[in-house]
Amino acid sequence: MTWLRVRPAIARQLAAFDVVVSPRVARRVMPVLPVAEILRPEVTRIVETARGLWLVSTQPRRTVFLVSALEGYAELRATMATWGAIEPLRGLAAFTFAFGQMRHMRPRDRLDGALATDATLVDELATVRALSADQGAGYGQTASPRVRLWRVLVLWVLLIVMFLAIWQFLTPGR
Amino acid sequence: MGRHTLNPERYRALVRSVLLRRGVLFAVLFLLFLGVFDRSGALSPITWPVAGVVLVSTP
Repeated sequence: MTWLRVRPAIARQLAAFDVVVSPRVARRVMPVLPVAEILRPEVTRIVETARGLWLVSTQPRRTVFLVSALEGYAELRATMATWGAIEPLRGLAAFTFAFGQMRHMRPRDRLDGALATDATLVDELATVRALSADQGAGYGQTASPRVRLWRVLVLWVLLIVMFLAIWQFLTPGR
Repeated sequence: MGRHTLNPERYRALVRSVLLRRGVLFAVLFLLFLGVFDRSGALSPITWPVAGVVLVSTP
């Protein structure tokens, strides 16, 4: 049932998801979630979990996730290894790390940090945006990944409470 | 400059694995939850069908 429900979403992702990587910029676009952009001079940490690579910058806080289901992931990983040391993370540590990074997957929209001092980087970012599937425009209204996750959790709590209420209602009295 | 799109087969496998793990996790949590609140000491006969429904309707 779930699989039937997610099939259209998968088709949408397959049609619109893409990652463009230049020598100093990585940009990911996908439906529903915000565009994520990161600049190589600002990358402070690269983490590899079972599902892919996380490029993290702390100033400003940005994260780009490169999912392992990408075409040419091995080459992409090799390229990213030149951006910095790849740190493997598994288990609960990987889960909490991923959860904490979700809200930082956003565009590199402010003209500060490396962008303020390097005009060629601004041009490179503009080129990468123009080459992306959305041509730099994004895919419209998006919800924060964290908000989406909380919505699912609340839905689950409500579902469990509803089943408990039905159970209590159907249990014969003593 | 490289452009990367999703590999359909690998992406479907990834989504399937995520849904399966999430489904199993929620079903286990749900059963534990019901077990904790089961006043009679034995799981109700409706627990297992309900757990099945929960498993297949995982968000």
